Parts: sequence; C-alpha cells; structure tokens
Amino acid sequence: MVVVETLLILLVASFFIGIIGSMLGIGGGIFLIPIMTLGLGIDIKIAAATSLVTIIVTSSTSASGYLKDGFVNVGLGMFLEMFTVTGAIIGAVLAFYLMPEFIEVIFGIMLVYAAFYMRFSKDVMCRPVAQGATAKRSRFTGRFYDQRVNQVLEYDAINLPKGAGASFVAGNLSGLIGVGGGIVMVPAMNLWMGVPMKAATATSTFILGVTAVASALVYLSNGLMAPVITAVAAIGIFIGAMLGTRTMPKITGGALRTVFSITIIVIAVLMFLRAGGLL
Amino acid sequence: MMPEGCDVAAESEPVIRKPLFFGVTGAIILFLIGLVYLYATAPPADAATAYSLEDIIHSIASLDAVGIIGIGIIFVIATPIVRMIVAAAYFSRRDRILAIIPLISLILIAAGFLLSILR
Repeated sequence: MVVVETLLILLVASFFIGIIGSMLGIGGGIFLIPIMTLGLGIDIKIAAATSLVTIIVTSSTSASGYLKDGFVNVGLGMFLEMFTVTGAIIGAVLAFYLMPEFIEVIFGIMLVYAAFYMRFSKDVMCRPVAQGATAKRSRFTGRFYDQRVNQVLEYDAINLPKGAGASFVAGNLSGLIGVGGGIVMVPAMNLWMGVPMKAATATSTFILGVTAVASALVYLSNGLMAPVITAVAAIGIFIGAMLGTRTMPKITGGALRTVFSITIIVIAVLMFLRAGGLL
Repeated sequence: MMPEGCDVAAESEPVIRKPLFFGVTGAIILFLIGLVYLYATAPPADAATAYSLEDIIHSIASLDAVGIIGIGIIFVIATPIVRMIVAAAYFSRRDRILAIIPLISLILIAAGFLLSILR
C-alpha cells in the first residue's frame, strides 16, 4: 500500500477511534491495533507501541475535558493507577517472550468479553452515601453534576481490593497487547466498585494515560516505536477525542454500546482467524 | 460532608488538568511540524519503520523531521508523568496519602523503564 494512502486511512480511523474511545472510557487500542495489523499489515508489536502512545493522547485529551466537568474521581484514579502500572510493566516485559499469535488470541478473547460487557451490562445507580459521624465511609467518595438528570450525584467507591485486582489485570493486558485496559477498568469500577458509568468512564480515561506510559517506555526502549505512523494516529485521535469528550454528556449510551459490541465481535473473529493462520 | 481526602481531591482538578491539556496540545503541534518537515525534505518509503531509542535520540540531536516527531512522542509520554508530579506536589501540603500515591506510581514506572533498558 502507498505510504500516503496508509497514513490517510490511519488518520481517518484514528479520528473515529478518538471519538469512541473518549466517550466509552477506553484508549482505543482495541480498534486501532486490528486496523493496523489486519487492515494495514503492520507488525502487531509496532502497532501495540503506536497504540500505547495514542492511548496517552486519548487519555490526556479526554481527562482534561472530564476534569473540567468534574466527572473524574482523582483520588480513586490515582489509587488504582498504582496497580495498573505494576500490571503494565509485567505485561510489557512478558510481551517480548510471547508469540504474536498468542497475543492475538488473548486480544480476541478480550474483545469477546468486552462485547458482552458492553451489550448486556447496565449502569449502576448512584450509591447513597452513608450519613452520620460513625458511618463507615470510603476514602474515595465522589461527586459530579449529571446534566441529563440535572442533579449533583454522590457515590461511595467500595470494594477497593477487588478494584485493585482488576486494575492489575487491566494493566497487565495493556502491557501485553498495547491496549489501555479501559474495557476492564470501566466495568470493574461500575459493577464492583459502585462508581456511576459517567464517573467510571471519566476516571478510566484519567488512569489510561499513566498505565500506557509504563508500557510505552518499555516498547520505546526496545526499539518498537514507529514515529511517522505514531504521529499521524496521534493527530487523528486528538481531534476525535476532543469531539468525543464534548459529545459524551449529551447522548444516551444504549445505541452506541450495541454498535460497539457488534463491531468488536467482528474484529475478534478476524483476530482469531489471523492467529489461526486462516487470514 | 465528604470524608477527608475527597474534597481535597476534587479541588485539585483545575491544577491537574493543566499539564494534561498543555502537554498533549504541545505534542500535537510538534507532530504536525515534524510531518510537514518530513514530507518537505525526505518523504518516507515505509510509514511503519520502527526506530530504536538510540536512533530517536540521534534524530532529536540533529533536529531532523523524525527528531521533531520524537520530541512530540516524548512530550506525550511525559504528559501523564508531569501530571503525577504536579499531583504529588499539590497534595503534599494538603493530604499526605494522596501525595504519596502518585509518587509510588512514578517509582514503579521508573523502575520498569530502567529494568527494560538494563535487560
């Protein structure tokens, strides 16, 4: 494929990935890596390195907007980062010892999981925050204004050990296959920790950047960074993420979730076929 | 009333937001300059050519097109790191636990990077 054509496809794809990633609290690697490997024929480890840089771009752009809107739970995000970083470093080191086909199978399994999560999960309601001086409170209570219900919502982040474990797994997957881990972080915060979907999405974007940094540095030091495609993908992601961050508070998630789950099931099937040598 | 740490964390949002916004915006400007410079001087034969860390550092030193993009990549990677440093500094006078947490993450990232270089 001609270089300019490759870069244009990457730019347009990254733009749409930036929109979707910022709205769903994921880095976008889940889409970008298959497009780069299956669509553009780029080696999966170079694709993973590129993806990690673009995840930081998605994270920084989106988190900047969500911090302004007050959706991010800063304390909880920083707490969970410790575990995603640990998992990411271990995953990034392991990635150099594993076969690309094995990584693709892991990625495919992760996509199937993500598809089912996106299709069938429901948002938790805000947990009522316990009242009174003797009430047991989480350190990571959060509060944000939801313009859709025109209310300030308050919640109590619970099950911190479970959340820490999920964060380690999310980080591990990030290092292993170059995704942000948001598809693990968002359901873990939402379903296990009682963080409402909008806050979980925003806090996930806040965490993604730090997780990806840990892995990106390992890929960079191992000579897997391709500057040209990285720059093009980052520009597309940046513009898309800016748009997505402004759109997220205004739309309902139902239709988007359905489209998302169908799309990633298709990509998962393609990944399995490729790992099996059939594509 | 929110428990200790929560209000302080919420108040930190405008401070923590700045390095994210300026870091990523600066990186994107560098990427644009680097790509324009690249196509004006020596268009690449292969878009997905990977560079070693030494090659990127060499390009940065000679300030060629790949070097400018390389600085952009470093900007991107540095953005969350600067955000953690800013958070640690901000919380150091307000909440010791919230100040220590980003420092632990920073130490872990530095250790991982050093191990991958020394490996």
